[in-house]
Amino acid sequence: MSIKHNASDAELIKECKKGDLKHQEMLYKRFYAYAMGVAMRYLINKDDALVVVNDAFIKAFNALHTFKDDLEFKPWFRKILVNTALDSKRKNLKYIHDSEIPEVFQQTMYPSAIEKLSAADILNLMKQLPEIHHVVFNLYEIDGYSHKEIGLMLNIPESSSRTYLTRAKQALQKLIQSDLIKI
Amino acid sequence: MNTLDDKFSNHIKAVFEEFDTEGADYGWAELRKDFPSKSSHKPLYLWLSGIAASLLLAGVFLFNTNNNDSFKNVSQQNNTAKATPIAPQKTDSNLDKATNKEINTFDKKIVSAKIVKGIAPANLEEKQLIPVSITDTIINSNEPGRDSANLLANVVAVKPDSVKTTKPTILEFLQKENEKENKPVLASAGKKAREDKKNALFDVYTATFLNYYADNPVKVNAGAGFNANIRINKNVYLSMGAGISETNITYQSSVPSSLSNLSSSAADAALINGYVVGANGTKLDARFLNIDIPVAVKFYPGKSGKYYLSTGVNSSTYLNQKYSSSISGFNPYSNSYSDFKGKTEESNFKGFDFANSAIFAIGINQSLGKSSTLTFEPFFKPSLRGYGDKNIKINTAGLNLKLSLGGKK
Repeated sequence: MSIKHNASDAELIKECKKGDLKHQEMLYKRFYAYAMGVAMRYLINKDDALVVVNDAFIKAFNALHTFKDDLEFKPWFRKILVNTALDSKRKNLKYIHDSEIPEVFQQTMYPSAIEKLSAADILNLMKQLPEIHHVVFNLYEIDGYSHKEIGLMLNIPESSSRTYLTRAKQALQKLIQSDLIKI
Repeated sequence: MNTLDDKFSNHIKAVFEEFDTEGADYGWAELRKDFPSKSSHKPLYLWLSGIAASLLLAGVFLFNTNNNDSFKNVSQQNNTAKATPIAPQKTDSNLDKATNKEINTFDKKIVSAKIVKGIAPANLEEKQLIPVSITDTIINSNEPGRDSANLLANVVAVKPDSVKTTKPTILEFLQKENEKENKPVLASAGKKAREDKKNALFDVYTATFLNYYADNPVKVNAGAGFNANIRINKNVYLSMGAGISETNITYQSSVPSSLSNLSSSAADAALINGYVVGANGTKLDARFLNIDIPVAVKFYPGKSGKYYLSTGVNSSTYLNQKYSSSISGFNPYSNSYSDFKGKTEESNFKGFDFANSAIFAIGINQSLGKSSTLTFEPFFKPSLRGYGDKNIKINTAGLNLKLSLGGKK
């Protein structure tokens, strides 16, 4: 089978389901950057993110026969990615009691400041949060999971998920402010 | 605030949606190291070779042990013969020559003479019988009531000058002794044979045991096999054997890192179907159909032989290994739970784990007639190295019921 470099996702996936390595390589390279983006939001470190990305791709290739052709690959793959990233982080995710969470006062977030943030800036900001804060922030704000789902995924009470999110946002606002002052 | 929150979140989404990074070629090269997974199934012949080598080693050990016993017996006999050769050495008859030859030659003839004596008919000619009788006398010189050589030695010692004159008397005496002892000799041969049997007792056993690890659920399993018990000395036996057993364990906590791949495969199956999974909701099952090769030392503290303490190690090889995972997923839209099965890994005729668990046991023997014994043996086998490809740690506690046939301690 000749390889079309402009093949659609559906065509690629159809060939990948047959176990064709060349098409799997194409699929990998097509979604590599996206996958790294998702993984780095959780792992921050590029090397760790690559390990997660490769794990997720292997899982996806192995589970591709369960993938329904009428669905989009990206959301399906993102679920695997997020779960793989969480798996690799679970050891480090420490449940923080509410009393241990420092109170951060509400601050104003400037829209203009937000627009200036690059991927590196965002990762730098997240790095400064407690791990569980930035994981909850990612899960809720970026990947769209509910607090109930997050509670199940991280084995924490739903209320804790809400608290971590609030704290994460407050901390991020503060960090953005201080970064702007430096600028 | 919400608008700004949304703006912030949307900006992050947009930034990472368009995230661009190099390294796809490197990443693919890295992935290819693990994908497609290379089959680690070793050929069947390697597994069989391992089993054959183990059995060969066990056989060689058994053979050597038995040979050493024979050697020890004959050496003792030879030493005894050298220590008490007074009467035969002081004569120059054919009897003396034959006897000296028998005594001084440490070869298989002695053993064969020993064997012949037990079945020699009583009406054999004197010259055939005498050496056999003397050999027998010397061999059994430690046994009370049958020590004619010592008796002769005593006679000679008391009357050293009368050796020559007593020669015909000695012959007659020996002949009579032989006739007298012909029946006891046969009886003693039977006794000797029983003693030989005691040097290697065999038993068959069935085992019922509980497998557990950490705070995971306890599983009941069973097995059966046989043992050979080789006597090291009066109170110590070396027990070796082989048995087949089924070993199951379910992990719900303290999951070994070697099973993490299976764990995430179950979670993936749930996620792919739109379910959310809990962090600790995965169940992992490990199942082995294994051949156990226990090697233990049994110590009988008393003379009665009713109790023993045993300690050793167990090694295992696997007819079948199966690892599987499952997880309960939550569907937030239908507010329902559903179970999902993850990847199953299975292999046949693979692996050998030397000393994967220790053995501690106490045996209580119960006599069942003249030559059979039923033994109740509670045991504990703490994990040392883990079972199978995934090094699954399993502690085992249970009870062996052993039936020993053809001999007693």
